[in-house]
Amino acid sequence: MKNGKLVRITAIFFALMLCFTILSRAADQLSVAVVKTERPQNQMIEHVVKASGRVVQNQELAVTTLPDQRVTAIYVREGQRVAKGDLLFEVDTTLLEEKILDQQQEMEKQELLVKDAKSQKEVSAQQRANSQAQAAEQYSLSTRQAGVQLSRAKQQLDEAKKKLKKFRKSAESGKSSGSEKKDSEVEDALLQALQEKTDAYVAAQGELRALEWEIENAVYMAKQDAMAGTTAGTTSGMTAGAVQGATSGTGSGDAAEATLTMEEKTFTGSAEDVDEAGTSTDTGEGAEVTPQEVDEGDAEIVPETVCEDETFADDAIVDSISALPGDEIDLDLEIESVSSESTDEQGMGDGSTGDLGVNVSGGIDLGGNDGEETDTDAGIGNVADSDLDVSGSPVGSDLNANIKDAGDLYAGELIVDDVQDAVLPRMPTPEELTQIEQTVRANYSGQLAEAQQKLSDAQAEKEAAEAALVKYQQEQLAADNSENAQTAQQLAEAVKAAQQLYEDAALAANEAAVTSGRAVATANIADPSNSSDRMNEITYEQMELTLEKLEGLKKAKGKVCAEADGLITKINVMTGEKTLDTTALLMADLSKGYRFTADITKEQQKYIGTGDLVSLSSGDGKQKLEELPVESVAADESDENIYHVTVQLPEDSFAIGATVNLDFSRKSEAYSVTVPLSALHLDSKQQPYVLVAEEYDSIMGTEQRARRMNVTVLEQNERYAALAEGAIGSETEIIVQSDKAVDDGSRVRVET
Amino acid sequence: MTKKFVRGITYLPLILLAGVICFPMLFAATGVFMQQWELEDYLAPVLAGADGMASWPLLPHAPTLRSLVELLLDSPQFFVMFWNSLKISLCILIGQTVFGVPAAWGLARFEFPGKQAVLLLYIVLMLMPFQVLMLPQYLVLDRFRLLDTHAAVILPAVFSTFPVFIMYRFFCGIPEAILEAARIDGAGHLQIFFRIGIPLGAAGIVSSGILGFLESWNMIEQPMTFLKTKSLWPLSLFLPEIGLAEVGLGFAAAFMMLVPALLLFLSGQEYLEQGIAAAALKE
Repeated sequence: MKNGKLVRITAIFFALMLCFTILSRAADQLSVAVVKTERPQNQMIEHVVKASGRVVQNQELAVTTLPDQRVTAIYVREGQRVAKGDLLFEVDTTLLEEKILDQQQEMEKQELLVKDAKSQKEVSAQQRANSQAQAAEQYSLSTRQAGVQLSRAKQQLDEAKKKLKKFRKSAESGKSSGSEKKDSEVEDALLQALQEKTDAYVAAQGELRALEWEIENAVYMAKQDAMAGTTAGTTSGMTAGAVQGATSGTGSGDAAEATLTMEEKTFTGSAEDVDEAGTSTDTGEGAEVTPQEVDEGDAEIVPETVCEDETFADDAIVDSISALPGDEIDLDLEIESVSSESTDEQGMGDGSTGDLGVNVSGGIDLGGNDGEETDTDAGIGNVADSDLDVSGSPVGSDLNANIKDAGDLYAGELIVDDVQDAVLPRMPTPEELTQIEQTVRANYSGQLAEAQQKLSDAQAEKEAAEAALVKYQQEQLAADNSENAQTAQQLAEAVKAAQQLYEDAALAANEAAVTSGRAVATANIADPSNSSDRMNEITYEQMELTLEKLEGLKKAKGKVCAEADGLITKINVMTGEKTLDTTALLMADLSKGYRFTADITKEQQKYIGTGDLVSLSSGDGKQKLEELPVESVAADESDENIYHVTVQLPEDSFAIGATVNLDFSRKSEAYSVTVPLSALHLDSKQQPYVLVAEEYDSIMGTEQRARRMNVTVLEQNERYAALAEGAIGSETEIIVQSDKAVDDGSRVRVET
Repeated sequence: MTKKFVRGITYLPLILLAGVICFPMLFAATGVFMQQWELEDYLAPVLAGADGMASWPLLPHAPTLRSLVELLLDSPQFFVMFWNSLKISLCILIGQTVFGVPAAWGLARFEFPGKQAVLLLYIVLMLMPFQVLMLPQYLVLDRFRLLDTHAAVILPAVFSTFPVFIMYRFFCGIPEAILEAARIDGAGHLQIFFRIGIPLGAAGIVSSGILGFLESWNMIEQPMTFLKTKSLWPLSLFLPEIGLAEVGLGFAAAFMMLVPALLLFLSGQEYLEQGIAAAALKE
């Protein structure tokens, strides 16, 4: 190979190498990112809040008019400014006049209703006073009767005693005095003791009666309370009222029936009681007594006799009922007053009252019918059955059952059904009533037992005294001759009979006092409240008010005017249509000022607060207001990322509805290391970092590359971020811009 | 026939031996045209610690110029180092010529006291490996504040003893009669040196130049020791920078590095042979 050729090849080779050197360098520079660096600045972070909002009124005024008026003309449109007193719209005056006339007529009617209600109330008050007086009268009458009877019995007893003494004296005159005189003294002492015991017995009996009445009264009151608590609704209230009215009638058939049920349990049945009842009927007492006795006889005796001895039952019932016809006049009288009273109390008066009245009279008929049907076994059996049922059930439902039974027997089926329907709903559950009754009774059981014990003790003592007297007298008789003895025995028996009569009279007097007293108490129970008259009055007053308004509108010739300066925001009425109950017009009250409201984000909300001074500028930028305080910043109710800013505006600043821009900036403290936000990067783990340009030694000479530095962001706005001091100092060149993606270690070229 | 056969028998081991010697050349040449993945497959057991033995095919599976293109167009670093190498080598060559040729002429042609001692010192120094001279050189260069400059590599090589020794042998071979004739014709010392010495000793100068170039071209310890700045590094330090991931680039670089040396060798082959022979003919 020639040397020249080799030299040429060498030269070409080096030339090529030179070319490739240039080419490779050019290619290399293409891949290097050109970056801009900045040094961290010492500055404050400024948070700028910009928002666009609208101007709205502070207060809205609602313009209303009376409903159902025809609108003849509307003089404003939405968005129009009106001054105080400006005509807004007009309503038809003809229609208005008609309305006024209507209203006046209605008011007249209402006035009449008020008058009616008032007079009705007065009448019912009078009736009540009447019945109270009647009860009081009845009370004095029966006690007086009992007193007369008692004094008569006493007189008879005294006479019998006198006769006996006289006889004794005449007998004594024939004998030596000595021991005989002593005997007479002994007998006197015995008689005296018997008298005392009898008095004690009568007193005990009276106490027991009084206590029993007290218990029954307490039970009745407790039940009334329970029913008053549970009853609701007009129908049940009405029935309750009716029943109450019925039961409160003094000495009426109702009362008789009520007592009938109430007394059933109190009579601890014995044959003696029946006897007593028999005696008391003689006195011709009130209605209360008689049903009791009927009841008593039935309850206590019939169960046995129906099965065993019908004749005895017959006798008992005949005995007890025989007195009834004599009392019927009284009863009838009272029935009338009851039925009228209950009608009054129910005010409007519906069928049930009548039913009840009928039923009550049916109940009274019981007495009369009993009197007629005493000889028919079937009738008695029925009565007995029905009464037995009654005595077995609680008092509250007793009344009901009793009414029903009575109806079954003596009134029509139809009426019975009605009554049942009307009466039943007022009841609380029977279990509840039973429980109430049991509680009350349990409270009194001790006292009752004590009184009963006392009574039986008194009776025993009385019987012992009687026995002693009888024994003494028989001894005396044995000592006397047979003729005298017979006379003496007769006289002694007469005394004894008189004694018994006296006792019975005393008991009857007691009972009459208790029963009549009870009737008086019942009559004194206040009427149920009735406020229909006041209610009617109120309705009238309301009508009056409406009329006033109507007349006011008429006076204004049907014209509705603005009450204040404002801006019409909404019109709800239409020409030709009738006005509704709702607002006719809505207007912004300009006298109350207006405010600016805008929505900001949750992020912005951090930097703006109540009292911050903001500047507002109109959408076109022509108008600008500085340093207005923020009135409130409140979260939106539905979207938690939205907050509402409100700023009160001075008068005549912006128009309502105008779009206004809000500007506010808040400066933070000064940070020594702040970098543009473009320099801040986040890795996949959300760790913030910056890239700094770093010189390094390479084959190509001194080159620059990016190096990653993790940082802590203290605060940032949309342009700058404040970083914690540390790795980054004020001299660090931080890459803030790059023409290519730059990563940790990327070669970069810093543009100067 | 028998003669040919004998010659053939003789050549066979020689050819085999030549093949073994040439294998690295083949290795380098085929590696340049291989894909990166192919190279990784073959060399992984050596460079990446994979199992098995490294293997090498005679021809690449998928020949490509990719590595070469990448080296030439995408690796400006290679060219930085290439030109660094060239600069160092040429400077050394020039320096050796400027200082070595007169030194060798003086030693060969002048008689002065201690000449033998100086020659002995030259030989001793020539035989000393770099590792021995490294520390003193470093200290001296540091004192002269030449560290981390190309001068730190160039200057010691410029005053190397080896080219002086080679040229000494050539200058010694110039017959004294020629110099006598020149003197008679009125030539001074400089005229004799330039007009007679250099032309007659050209073979020695060239061969020492070629040897010096090859040595400085392949120099690796001196730049590694004295050069810290990467941009000053010669090409010999490029390959240590390359790992398995860029092994293709490495082959291409090696190939390109071979080219100047090969060209120089081919152009100075004749003188080189003479020079090597001259060095071998020691007194």
